[in-house]
Amino acid sequence: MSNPKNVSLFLRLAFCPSTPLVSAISRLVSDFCRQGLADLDISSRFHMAAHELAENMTKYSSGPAVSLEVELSEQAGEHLLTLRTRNHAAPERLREVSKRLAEIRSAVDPSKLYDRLIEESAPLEGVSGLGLARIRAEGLEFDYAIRGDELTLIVQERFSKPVPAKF
Amino acid sequence: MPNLPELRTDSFSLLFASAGGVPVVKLSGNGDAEVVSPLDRSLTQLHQKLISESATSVVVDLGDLYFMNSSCLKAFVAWIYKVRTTGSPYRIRLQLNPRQRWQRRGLEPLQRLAPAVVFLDEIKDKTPGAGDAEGT
Repeated sequence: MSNPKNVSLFLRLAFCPSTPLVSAISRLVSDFCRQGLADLDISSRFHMAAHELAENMTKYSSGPAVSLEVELSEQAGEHLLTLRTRNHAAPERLREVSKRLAEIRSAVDPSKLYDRLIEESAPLEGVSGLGLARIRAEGLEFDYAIRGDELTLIVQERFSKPVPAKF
Repeated sequence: MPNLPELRTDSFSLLFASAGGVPVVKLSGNGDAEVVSPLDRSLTQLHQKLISESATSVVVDLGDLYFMNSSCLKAFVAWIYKVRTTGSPYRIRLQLNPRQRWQRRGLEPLQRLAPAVVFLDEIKDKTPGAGDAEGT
């Protein structure tokens, strides 16, 4: 029998993609993490991840609405902080991005991959494409799913220590 | 450092100064999508100026920089690449705020891109109770 998953925090933001909103959303995620986990290192990395994910949706969403979720849960003594974004994207964009997403997810050495992408992008003007690789390079787990024209990106951090529940 | 336009928005600024004859660039605030293009332009202008003056080093003070997204980091990557590939590279000393934990994580890859060009130094924090803040 599998252990039940206990969710102590769940936050879902649905919004129209907008550049000025990106910083506000990432600050909100960071504040929630800081309050709930009392761990500055994790809240700092989730601030970065929320910013990169929200900015990605703002740049590439083809629909009028996107969503971002934050979940703090516990299962079998393991604590898990999850950031999940969903947006619709054009088929050609999804085809283009799926190879890079697979590469980031499966990277054995995420820092090495990030360094390679930095080196490749260095001479290219107006091209970044570093945000998702940065998330993995900074030690967070990364996964994704593509269903139809919907792209879901998932970033996670696992903890074994107890998490202060202040929510 | 004269004759270079400074950059100021509601949430970000890039200012020029000089310390002991060494040019200093001070970045403050939040480096997000709204400042990517002006930041890129400013760093390009700075590079041209430093090359024309045969500068040997520049200090980048990040003490009050609370965040930098990957597109702003890319502007630094482009700058560092130009310095690395120029005939007479100068040194870029990035002064990090140890209270901003993202800075070392986020900027170490820039040092790996050009270890002979980029140097990371931590600013000594004299504030009482320092070490417990992470600005956003």
